[in-house]
Amino acid sequence: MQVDELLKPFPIKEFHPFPRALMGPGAHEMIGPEALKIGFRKTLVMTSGLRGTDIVHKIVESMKYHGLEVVVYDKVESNPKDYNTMDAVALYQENECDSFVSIGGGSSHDACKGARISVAHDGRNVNEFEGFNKSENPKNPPHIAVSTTAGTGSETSWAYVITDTTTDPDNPHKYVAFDDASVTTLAIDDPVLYYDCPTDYTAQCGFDVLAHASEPYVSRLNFQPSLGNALHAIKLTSEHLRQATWNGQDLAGREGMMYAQYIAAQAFNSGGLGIIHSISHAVSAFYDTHHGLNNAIALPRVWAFNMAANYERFADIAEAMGIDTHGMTKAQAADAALAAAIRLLRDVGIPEKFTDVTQDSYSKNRLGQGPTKYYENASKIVGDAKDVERITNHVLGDACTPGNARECTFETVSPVVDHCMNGDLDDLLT
Amino acid sequence: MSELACSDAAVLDAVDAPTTPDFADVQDARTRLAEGGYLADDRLATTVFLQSRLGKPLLLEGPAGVGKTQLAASLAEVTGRRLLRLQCYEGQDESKALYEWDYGKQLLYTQILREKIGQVVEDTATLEEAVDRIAAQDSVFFSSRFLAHRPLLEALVSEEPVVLLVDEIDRADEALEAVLLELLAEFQISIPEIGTVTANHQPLVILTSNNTRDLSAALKRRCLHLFLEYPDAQRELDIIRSKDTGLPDALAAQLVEVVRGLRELDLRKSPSISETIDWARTLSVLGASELTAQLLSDTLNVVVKYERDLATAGRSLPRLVDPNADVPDHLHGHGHGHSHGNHSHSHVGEDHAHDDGPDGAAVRRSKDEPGRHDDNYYGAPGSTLRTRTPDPSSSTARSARKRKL
Repeated sequence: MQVDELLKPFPIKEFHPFPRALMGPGAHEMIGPEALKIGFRKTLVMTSGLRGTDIVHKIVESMKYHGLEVVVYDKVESNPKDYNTMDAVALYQENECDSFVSIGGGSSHDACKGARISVAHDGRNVNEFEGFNKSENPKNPPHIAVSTTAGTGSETSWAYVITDTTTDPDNPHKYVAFDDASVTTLAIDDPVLYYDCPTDYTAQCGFDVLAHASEPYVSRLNFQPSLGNALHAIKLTSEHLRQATWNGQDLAGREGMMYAQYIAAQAFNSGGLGIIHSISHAVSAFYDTHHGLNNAIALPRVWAFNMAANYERFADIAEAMGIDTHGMTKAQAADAALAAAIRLLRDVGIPEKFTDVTQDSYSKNRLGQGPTKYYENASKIVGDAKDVERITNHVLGDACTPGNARECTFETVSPVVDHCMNGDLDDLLT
Repeated sequence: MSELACSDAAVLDAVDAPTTPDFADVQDARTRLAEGGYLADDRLATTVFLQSRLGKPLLLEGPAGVGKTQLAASLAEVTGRRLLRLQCYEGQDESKALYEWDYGKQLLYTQILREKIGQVVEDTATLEEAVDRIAAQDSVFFSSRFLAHRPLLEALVSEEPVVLLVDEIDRADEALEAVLLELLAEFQISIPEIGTVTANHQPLVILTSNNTRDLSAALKRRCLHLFLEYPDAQRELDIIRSKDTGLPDALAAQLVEVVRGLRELDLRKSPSISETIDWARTLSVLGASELTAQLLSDTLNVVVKYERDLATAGRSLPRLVDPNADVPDHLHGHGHGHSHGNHSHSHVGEDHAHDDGPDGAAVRRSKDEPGRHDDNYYGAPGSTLRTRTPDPSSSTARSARKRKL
C-alpha cells in the first residue's frame, strides 16, 4: 500500500480559467469595438447559419461597419463534425484571417475552439487533440463567442466536443477535448439573441444547464468552489426554464437562463461531469441527436443511478429546486429532487425516452438545407441489445465518465443506458 | 599626383595584389565555374569576374536555396583557394568571428614558467616593484602566439589565398556588422594589444543574406551587390543535368516545370535548387518512367517540408502535372489512420514507409477503453482510482517481487 493510495481520489484539484464576459440585453452590439480592442483585422465567423433569424447578418454587418474584414463559414452542423472544423481551418488559412468569432450555440463555439487549436498547430487534424490539455502551442488566434442559446456554456468553458467521423466511419466517436488553450478571449451573452430560439431547443438547452449544474455538484472531484455556482444554476433553471420555453419573447425567463447557463458552465469547468454527458455524447455520436435532448433523457436515469452514492448532495439539489425538505430524510429529499426534474422535463415537453425521438419530432430537421447533412442520413434510434452495448462502450471511454459519482463498469452502466433507450420514467418515481 | 592618389597607392601597397589574376575575363569565369559544377548566368559570371578584378567583397542576397553558399564553395574550388566559412547567428559576438585570447594556453604557460617568473621578480624589494617588473613582460603573453584565430582573422593571416564566406550575415547582430566594416574596406583588423593586422593575400569575400532584416547602408556601400533569383527553366534543367541524377531528360524538364509551379504557390518555404536535385534523384531511384500526380504526391516531402505546404502543394500538383489527373487526398504525414484500401503505386519494389498510421477501426476501439483518461483527469495530477502497478524501483515493489532463489 503506497501512501498516495490512502488519499481520497483527486487530492489535487485545478481551477480552470474563464474569459472576460459581457452579459445582458444589448451586449451583442459591443462586438465591433471589442474586436477592434483585441486587435482583430480579418475574422472568420463560424456559425450554423441560424437561418431565418437574421442574427448572423446583423452581427456581420455591425463588424463590417467597424472596419473589420469578415469571412463567413456557416456550415457548422449540430454536434459539430471534424470535417466542419477542418473546412473552417482551410477557409481561415486560405483567407489569411487572424481571428475567430463564433455565433450560435455549443456547436458553433466548439467547432471554433477546435479550429483555433488546429490553426495553432499548422492545420493538424483536430482529432489529435482529444483528451486533457493535449495541445502544445498555447498561442492560438483570439476568439469572441456570441451565444444564441442558453445551455452550452462553451463560451466560458475549457472544453469542446467534436464528433470524429473519419477515423472509423462505421463507428463515429464524439469526444471531449479539455484544453485551457481553447478558452475564448471574450464571451458575449445577450438574452435578446435567445428570443428566436425555438421552443423545443430552449427546453433541451435548459436541461443541458441542469446537467452541467447537477453533475459537478455530485461528482467525485468534489470541488468545493464549484458547489455554489452549481446550486444557484439549478435554482435559476427551476425558476426560469418554463418561462423561457413557453414565453420566449419575455426578458425575465431568457435572462434567468442566461445566468444559469453561464454559472453552470463555471461549475463543471473545474468540478467535473458525469455519465449524463457520457451517455449523451454516445447517442449523439451514433444518431446525431441534440445534446440537450440527450441530457434531458439521460438525466433522471443517471440521478437515480448516482443517488445511492450521495443522498446528501441530492437533498441539497432538492432544496435548490424549491422543494421544502423540512422533515424529510436525505433519501426522501433526493427522491423529491428526481420527481421535480421529471416534472420539469414533462412540463417543457421533452420526449421521455430515446426510442420516442424521431427525425421529425423536433426542430432540427427544420434547419433547412446545409448544416444537417449528417443528421439527414442518421438512422432511426433502435435501442436493442447491440445498440445498448455500443453506447455503453462509448460511455466507458468518455472523458466525463471518471468523474461520475458512482463507479462505472459495463455491468452497472448498461442497464442505465437500456433504460434511457426503452424505459418508462414512471419507474423512477416512488 | 594628388594626395588622394598617394593614399590610394599606400593602401594598394599594403595589400599584395594577387600575383595571378583569378579569371582572365567573364567567359573564363563562366567556363571555369561550370567545370567546377556551378552553372552561372551572364550576370553572375560578370559579377564574379569584376569581384576578382576590383578586389571588392560581394554581397549575395536572395531566397534560400538559390546557390548563394554554393557559389563560394565553387569559387574556392576553381581558383584553388582555401574556403573559410563564418556562419552567422543571432547573438554572435566578435570573439567568435575575429579572434580570442587563448586564456587556457596563457594560464598553462604561466604555470609552467612559474619558476622563471619567480626568478624575474626575486630581487625586487616591494610588491609594487614586482608588479612593475611583471607588467614589463606583458607583451609576451599578449602576442600572436596566444591568439586563437577565428575565421575573419584567419582569412587575413592565412599563408595561402582564401575565399572568405560570411554566411547569412542578416542573422548576425548589427554589432558584428560594424566589426566587419573595417575588414571589408581595408582588409585589416585592429587588435588593441598587437596593432593592426593586414592581409597577406587579399581574400575573395562573399557575404550571403536571406533578407530577414535590412543590412546597413555602410555595409552595402563597401560591397558589390547581386540579387540571386531562382534560375530560369533552361538553366535549372542544365543544373539538374550536370548533377547526373539519372533522371531521363524529358522527365527532368517536366519536373523543372512542376517545381517552378510550386514556387509560384504561396508556400512557407519554396523548393530550393538542391531540393529539386534531390527530388530528381529520388524519382530516378524509384525508377520513374513517367511523372504521375500520384508518384509526385508520394514523394512531395522531398521538396516540401511543412504540413500546411504539403496540403497546398498536393492540391495543385494535378494541375501542374496534367490538367486531367487527380491526386489522392491523402498526403504523407497524416497519421490519422484512415482506411484507404489499396494504393496503386506507379513504382514497384520500393518499400517506402507510408505514414498511414494504425488502422482506423483499431484506433477508434481504443477510445472505448474504461480508465483511459485517469492520468491528468481534469488537469489534476495523481487523480486515479485504478490500482497502480508499483514502481519497480520502490522498496515495496522490491519486497513484493519473488526471489529468484
